Amino acid sequence: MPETRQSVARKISALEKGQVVPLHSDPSGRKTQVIGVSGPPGVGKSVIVGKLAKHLSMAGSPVAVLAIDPSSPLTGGAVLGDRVRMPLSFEGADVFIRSVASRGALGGLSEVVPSAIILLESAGYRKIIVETVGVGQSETDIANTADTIVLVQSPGTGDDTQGLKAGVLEIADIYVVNKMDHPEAERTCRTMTEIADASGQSGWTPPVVSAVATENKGIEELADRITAHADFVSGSDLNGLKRRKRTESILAWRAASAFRNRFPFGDLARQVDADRLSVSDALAQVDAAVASVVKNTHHCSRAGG
Amino acid sequence: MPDQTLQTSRATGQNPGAPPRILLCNPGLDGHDRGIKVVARALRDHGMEVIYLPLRTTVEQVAQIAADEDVDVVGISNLSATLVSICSNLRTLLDEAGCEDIAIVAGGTIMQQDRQELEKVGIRGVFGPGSELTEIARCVQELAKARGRQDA
Repeated sequence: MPETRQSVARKISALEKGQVVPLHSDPSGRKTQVIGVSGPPGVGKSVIVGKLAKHLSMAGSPVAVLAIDPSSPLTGGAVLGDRVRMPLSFEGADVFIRSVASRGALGGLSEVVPSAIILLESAGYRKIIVETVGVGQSETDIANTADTIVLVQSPGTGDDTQGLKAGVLEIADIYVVNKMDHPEAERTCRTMTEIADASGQSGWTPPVVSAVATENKGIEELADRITAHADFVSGSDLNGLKRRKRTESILAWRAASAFRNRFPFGDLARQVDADRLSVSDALAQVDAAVASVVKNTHHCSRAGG
Repeated sequence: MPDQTLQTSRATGQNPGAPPRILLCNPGLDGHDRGIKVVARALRDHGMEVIYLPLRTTVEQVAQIAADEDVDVVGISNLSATLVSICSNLRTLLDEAGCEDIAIVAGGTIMQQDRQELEKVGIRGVFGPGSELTEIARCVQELAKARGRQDA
């Protein structure tokens, strides 16, 4: 490993603080697979992530895990409890687990995640598992971040009509039905199979893996399917596309938060409130500001920057 | 209710920085976790990020996890007689790993003679039964600020 674990840990903190940390998209990092694990609360994501990390690391890949939990919108604090359900140590295998608070991000991740992935890639981690917050269907940030998306369901998390709703169900590459020892499990499996058959990209039909994660059942099959999807991605155009999307995410997120922090929304809102400005005119000012920034950016590029 | 007079540690656009990060655990064979859960919720309500471990961790595991999570403070809860040796071992392991800047605080049934031992070993906060949650929160915030976590 070119970088110490402690250095990686401290750099992730620096990234969270918005400090400048050199990030290089390392060409040899193209062997890294980013695996997103999503699904509603309580289905067993953390248990699955822990078992999967152990399995993949025993097979020889250094593994990193980013486990995201929600920050309180009122206090900004968070209880980051995903580790409670993961192994405490990995018998000498190289597994790095980091708990991450969402800090206001709403799409299931946190702003630091795409940058942290690049950092972990350069540090030599070959499998990076990202466990999303787990609030269900609106968690689509993972689509721009992961190479392989695993969606976990368990019996009793919704009836057949849930399968018709757009969102995270559409973007999964692998479905897992956990808690197969539950009486309703077979029915859930059938529903997920129908959804799986109707989705997926050309050349890849999402498999449905049955699991009882607490008993280690289904984990090996899940790992095999993840490896198969890695082969599928690297053999297609998707590889470059996903990496570009990750980079775009970093830039877009930075632009959004920098703009949000620096643009005088409060002043404009006060003027609207005092009837000195209409809402339409305030919106026009925002549009004009964005247009000006974009124009300046193109100007810089044209000048050979 | 969180103490309104305490600054919440929330990172906002106007106050860039980051919430304090604290690792809460009860290493060893002690099976009590009700106290630690109450503290976890209180610290969350005061705007901190609390990483919470299951029961029956070893001190080695706590030290490794504290480093990986880059926490500001490790909070040890222990109601057995082994608190001093646990804290002493943890302090040594953290220092050996280059984490001298990660502070340790302890809570639980703490005997008077143990308080002095704990301070000697470098424990930065000792909270016996009946400690105010706001006191614990304040202590953690100050330790995090000293470590440079919060740019207030």
